[in-house]
Amino acid sequence: MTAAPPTPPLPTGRPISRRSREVKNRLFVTVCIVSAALSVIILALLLAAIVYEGREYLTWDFLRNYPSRKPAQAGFKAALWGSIWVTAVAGVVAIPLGIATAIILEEFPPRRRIPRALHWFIQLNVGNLAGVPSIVYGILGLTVFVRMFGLFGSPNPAIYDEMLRIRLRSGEVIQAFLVESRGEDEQGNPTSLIVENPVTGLRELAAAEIADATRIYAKQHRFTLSDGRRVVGGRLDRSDDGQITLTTDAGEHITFPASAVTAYRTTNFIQVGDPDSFFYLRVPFGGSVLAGGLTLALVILPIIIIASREAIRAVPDSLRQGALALGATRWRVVWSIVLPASLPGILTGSILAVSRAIGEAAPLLVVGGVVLITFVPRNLMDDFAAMPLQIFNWAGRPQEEFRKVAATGILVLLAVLLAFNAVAIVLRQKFSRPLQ
Amino acid sequence: MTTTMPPPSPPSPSDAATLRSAVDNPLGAVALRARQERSQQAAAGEAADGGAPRSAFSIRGFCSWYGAFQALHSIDLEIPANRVTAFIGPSGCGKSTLLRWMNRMNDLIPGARAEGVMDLHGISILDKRLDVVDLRRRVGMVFQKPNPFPKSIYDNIAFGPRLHQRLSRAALDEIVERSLRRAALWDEVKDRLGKSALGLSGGQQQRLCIARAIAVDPEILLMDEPASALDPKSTHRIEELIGELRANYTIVIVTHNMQQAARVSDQTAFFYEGRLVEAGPTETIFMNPANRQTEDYVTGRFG
Amino acid sequence: MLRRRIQRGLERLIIGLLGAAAVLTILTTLGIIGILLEETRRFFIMPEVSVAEFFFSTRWEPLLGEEKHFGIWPLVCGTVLVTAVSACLALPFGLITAIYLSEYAPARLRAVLKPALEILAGIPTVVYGYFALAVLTPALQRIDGSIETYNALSAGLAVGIMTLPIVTSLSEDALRAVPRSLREGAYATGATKFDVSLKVVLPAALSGVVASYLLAIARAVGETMIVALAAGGLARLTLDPRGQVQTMTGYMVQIFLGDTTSGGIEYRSSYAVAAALFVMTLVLTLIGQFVLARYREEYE
Repeated sequence: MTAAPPTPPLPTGRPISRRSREVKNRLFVTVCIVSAALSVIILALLLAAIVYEGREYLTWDFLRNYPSRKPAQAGFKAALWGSIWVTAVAGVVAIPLGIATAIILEEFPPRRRIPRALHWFIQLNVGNLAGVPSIVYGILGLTVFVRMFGLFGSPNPAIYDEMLRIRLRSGEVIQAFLVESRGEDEQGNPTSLIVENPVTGLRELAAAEIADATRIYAKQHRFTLSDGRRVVGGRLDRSDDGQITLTTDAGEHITFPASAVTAYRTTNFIQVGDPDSFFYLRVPFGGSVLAGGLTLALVILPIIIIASREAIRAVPDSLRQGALALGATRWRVVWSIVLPASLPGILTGSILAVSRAIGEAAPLLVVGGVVLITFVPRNLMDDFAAMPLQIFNWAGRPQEEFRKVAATGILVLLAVLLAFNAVAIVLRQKFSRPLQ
Repeated sequence: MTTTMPPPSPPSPSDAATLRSAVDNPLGAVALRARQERSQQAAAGEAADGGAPRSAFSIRGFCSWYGAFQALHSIDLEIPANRVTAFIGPSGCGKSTLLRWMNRMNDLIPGARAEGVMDLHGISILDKRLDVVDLRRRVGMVFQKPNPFPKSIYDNIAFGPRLHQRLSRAALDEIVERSLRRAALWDEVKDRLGKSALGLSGGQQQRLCIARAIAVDPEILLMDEPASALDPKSTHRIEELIGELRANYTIVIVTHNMQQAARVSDQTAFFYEGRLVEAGPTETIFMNPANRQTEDYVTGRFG
Repeated sequence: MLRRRIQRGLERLIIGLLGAAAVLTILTTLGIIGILLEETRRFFIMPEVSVAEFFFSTRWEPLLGEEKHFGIWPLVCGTVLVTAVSACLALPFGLITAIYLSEYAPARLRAVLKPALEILAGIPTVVYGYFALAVLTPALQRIDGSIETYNALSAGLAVGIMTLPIVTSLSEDALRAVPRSLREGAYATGATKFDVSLKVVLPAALSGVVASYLLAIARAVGETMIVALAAGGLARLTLDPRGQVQTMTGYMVQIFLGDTTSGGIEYRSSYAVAAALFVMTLVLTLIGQFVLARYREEYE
């Protein structure tokens, strides 16, 4: 063996000293630590500010009271329960749909060309949906769920009459227009309401009499008059002299005296059940719990799909192949092998998605608007308040005191989120990678 | 065999630079000495081969742990300079661990620690005060799987030199060209130096990694199964390259492949279960091993 | 035999149902696009509105005065300003934190940092809006008296805090995905940790980092509650972050909260704004996704 001739040394330049290297390193580490500390400091500052501002109003009464014009009496009850209802709807709808989509995407990759293109497109689409601003989902929910494309009437609420459906403590139910609210008790709520029913006329109701009140939207008013005529119309105007003018959808005006009315009914939407029953449903959904929940479901669906896909992908292929080799069908493999193995990951992802739904305000703002609500929803068609919306409302008010109430609301909201995340963490640790 | 006289080498600027940095860096002084000795040896030509080989590494009573697991038990081994030393042995016998201590790559593994003596030209490698960066510059390494950076071919080679020196463009170009030439890759890539290194074949990538390692002008090259991820043809090419490089570098190669050890190395060390079983000239180890275990292994009875 | 056929039919049915669920995601997208297109069309056919004005006018005055102006640029400007402020905070600090977490941080620090970032990521945006309004703005006003009660600066900073964990976690994933062999190869040439992190790992993970940036910017552009609370409600063509601005999302909140009738021109204009917002975020997420897919291919 012949050794190659030794080559002349490689060209060299000015060496970079150990000290300059170390200075650079240390400088960078310092920058890193400062930067990393920044997020911890911000978090600490944020929590400290909220605890400091919010501690004053943090009492049990805060959870028991309804919103009020007076900061000291303002409460979170409607918002808390509203959030629970809406989020529950979102979770119940989105989690199964999300898991189903993840299973299709991960476990049933199509072989033929067109389904394969569809498969690819769905994957891309899920990623895009995750990036769509949540307020845009609000617009989708407003058109699809709240108004249902106007299929059941024009999307223009001008043709609806907004009425109140008031349940009295005596059990009587009144459907009427709100004329004015009178007085103010120490909580800042009105002491009485003056309402007007087209047939029975004006009536004053003391606040103490009222069990609860919901907005309803009357689309059609049907009157049976004393001469046997039936009058059906869209919009209702009641003049001071007791004349009722109905404007039908065709634009025709029908005027008759209130005294001639023998029976009166409003229909608004296609509806199932009585507005007081727990199974009451109507279409379109209006700004209801169901509409809000479905909208939030769309917001969190991509998150659940992405998390579930990752959980399913983490299941080792050997498990699937083992089961397939035993003659199991693909679906059996998914049901009895893949799903149980990926369940912890799916659950963790779902819980995180649902906690996102709890904190989401923008889509609900579009769907339901910020309404001061003084009751807890009884069914899916009731209006709702929500914690983040209530906080938004309080924080945006000019009075300093309401800022504090907002901070108190944030404390409750964060506590709820913390509880949720604690469940996720426990789940993750309990089942942390039993397969690897 | 012919003896070529090298051109008389005037003290190069790098020697002066090394001298300057030698003040706070003992290895720098060693490097200077080694460089001088290298040129003397080269001048002596055949004579160096005849005499007793000088040690690059002296390893005595060397033990290593990963956490509670002891990977190496009291190793005693001399690694001769300007020779190819092969570490052989079954998987998990500790040969890669020993190799990775030789340029302190094990520092990157949490829980790895070592005791005993491992000297490079009389300087303790395990010394906490040692400048690891400088050590690694002098002790280069080539890995099992080619690991080119996702950069251009040129930037891959220039990466190391740029770390250690401020170089003119022309000097850098020269380093890149000569490193690639030494790694026998120049002719294949000279027209696409600006292209991504990931576009090269596996064998080319591995030679690129060798070129990258020698671009910082190390004395020693550690090779951790450098051909195990390559096809036979590329393997052959790498082995040829090792043969060419042995004139300029001290090479330590870990290999699973006994034929490879026999083909490329001057000296072989056989490891088994964290212990050095036998070390000596390759011929002796393969033809006339003193130890039964060694014989069983090299003849393929276990492993 | 029959049982088997029933079983097979049942399985087909189940798979069909799963497929239907997947198709729902497409319907969602189609729904969004369809609604935005239709409502935007209805907006543009109104006599007071012209497409040219929408795209080229610099005045957005839908509510005030006799003469209404619908030039989207002031809203875009507000959005860009808030996003830019947020990017100045989130992008550099998010990336550096990611590098620290992936390359430097000892396990004990990681154990503090990661949960802190996860908590930050989980905090509802309305809380950040409150933080901007009640904490950041007063603090900034103490430094610079010319800062208004509603301003783009504190809104942007709050949006930055919100997007910081997104940048950090996605970038850290990308950095961690860089194979260890590359790091070892660099160390073996005598690179320091600084060299390895910045000259090898970061360039190798660049597409992932870029994707994280794009997704974070998309989130900032679409962020609603923070700007609705803290940025103000005056659509202005300005690059001064000390004053109030109105973003596209901020305008939408104003309309949907307000008493404007649903057939009215202001109301319809919010759909046109929503369409513009949707297009902006879609482009950002699409590019982000493609970049992300590329880096996943590189190392998987």
